[in-house]
Amino acid sequence: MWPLTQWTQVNGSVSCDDQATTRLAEGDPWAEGADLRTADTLLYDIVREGLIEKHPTTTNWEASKPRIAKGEIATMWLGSWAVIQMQGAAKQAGADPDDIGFMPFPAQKNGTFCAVAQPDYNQAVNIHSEHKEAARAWIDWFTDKSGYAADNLALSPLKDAPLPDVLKPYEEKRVKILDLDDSKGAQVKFIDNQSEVGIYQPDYRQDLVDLARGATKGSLDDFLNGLGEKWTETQKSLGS
Amino acid sequence: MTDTTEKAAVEPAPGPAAPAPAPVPRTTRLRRGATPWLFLLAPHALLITFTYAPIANMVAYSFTDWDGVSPELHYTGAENFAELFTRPELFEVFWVSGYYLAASVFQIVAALYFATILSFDVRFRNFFKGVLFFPYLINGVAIGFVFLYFFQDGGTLDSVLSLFGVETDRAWLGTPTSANTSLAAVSVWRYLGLNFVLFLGAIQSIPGELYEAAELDGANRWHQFRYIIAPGIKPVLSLTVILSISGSLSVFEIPYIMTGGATGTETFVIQTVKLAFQFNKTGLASPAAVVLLLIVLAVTWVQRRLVPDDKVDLA
Repeated sequence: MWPLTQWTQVNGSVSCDDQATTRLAEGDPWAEGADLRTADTLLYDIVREGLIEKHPTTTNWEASKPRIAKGEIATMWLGSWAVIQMQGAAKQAGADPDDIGFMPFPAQKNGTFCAVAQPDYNQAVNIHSEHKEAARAWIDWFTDKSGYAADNLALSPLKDAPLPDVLKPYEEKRVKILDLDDSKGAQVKFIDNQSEVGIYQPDYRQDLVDLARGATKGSLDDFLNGLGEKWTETQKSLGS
Repeated sequence: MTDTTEKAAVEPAPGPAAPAPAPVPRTTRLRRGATPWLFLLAPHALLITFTYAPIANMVAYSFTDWDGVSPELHYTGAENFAELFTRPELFEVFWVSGYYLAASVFQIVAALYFATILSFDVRFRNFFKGVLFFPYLINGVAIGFVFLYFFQDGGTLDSVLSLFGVETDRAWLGTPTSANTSLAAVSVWRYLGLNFVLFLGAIQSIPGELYEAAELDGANRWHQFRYIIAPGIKPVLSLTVILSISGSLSVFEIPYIMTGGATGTETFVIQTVKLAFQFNKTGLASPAAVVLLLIVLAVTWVQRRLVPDDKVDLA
């Protein structure tokens, strides 16, 4: 179930816009051509065409790893942190770990693929801390020396750090990596809760999957427009 | 049955007809009067702390816009109730309870059947009692996980069916009807033991002479059930019906663990939990919980009116 929430992270990848979160707060996420509509339509089509697993209502993370390693699963929507686990599973299953690669969301803006960098751990020093130096030393150690980013094939927060190997092809193909401006993030979460849409929850996409595989009746357009309506009405009632 | 308990309750009290004892000193009398209250203190303290105080809190929250975490909350009057009752889609989930209600009819009948059979002399009866009661002892979350494996593609159910040569490619939790039926079946498996034990206890409290006398009069097992057991367990039966109805209205653990409420398996309680903890609307979830409480109370009241709890008289 939780892999479905991953799809919200498409935000910014389609429009290649670092203000994508602001547009969630101020616009309709399911307007024609908007990031979420593009992703949800892709999800719908994938399910509709029967390209997903046989029983999408349950998930088994550990069992899914060897299956992608052996080629029974083609793609999974995950962050680059998952690559190392999949490669480990490939080794265990006797497959070639180099078969596991990473790709951006299949949408281009002016001929460029865009990928959004998601923060993993956010660390800061508390202004009220009595041990600011120790806290700062921990952050420095974590970012400079711990090797956490390299171990997880993640983007290092250090400016001069090289891209992890798995993202080298991004450099060659000129995939644009962008950071989203999150200044409206809290407002998006507030609208999300007030409207009970739940873009950070699996629920509405579970309904979308049910719709696509015919377990429930209805049309995709009605479904997505309904979500957009709930969202924009809540925006209006909040006076934004 | 009722007779004996009444007698037991009356006996310890000194009868007025007893020869007048020497007047008891005042302090002793006071202490004697206080003793039952002291005994009641502990359960009452627990009951008030863990049941009534939270309910009072919940009722209070239902008149606020609290989000569940913030230190600030504002009084909003009956606004939450107004919102709740103007959103009919919030009550549509009660249709799901229909599956559990239908299942509990089956459950009561099965429990009654097993309790009757095992109240007679049957070989291995203690073993069968254990088998039937065991599921009730397992934690609901554990049951949820066990049955996730049971119903999954190529899981236990599919394996067992294929032993009998039945090859199905059915996604047991895949469609609303199938998923709800499967979940209701799990619920039957879990609670059958409880009903069974309640019935068995009631049946065993029926004095044995009655069966003997009935047998001498030429009554067969069905007659014994119809004219001795059925009337004898009527209070327990009506209690079980109330428990089943309120249980069906407030199903939570099994569907929450197994499907999370997806594919049309969302129950009223799951919806309430999501409102409170997923969308931070404690202010709206509290009245939903209050309404559920009132519905359960109303159902109980109606049921008690329809089937009054008569005194059982087997003599």
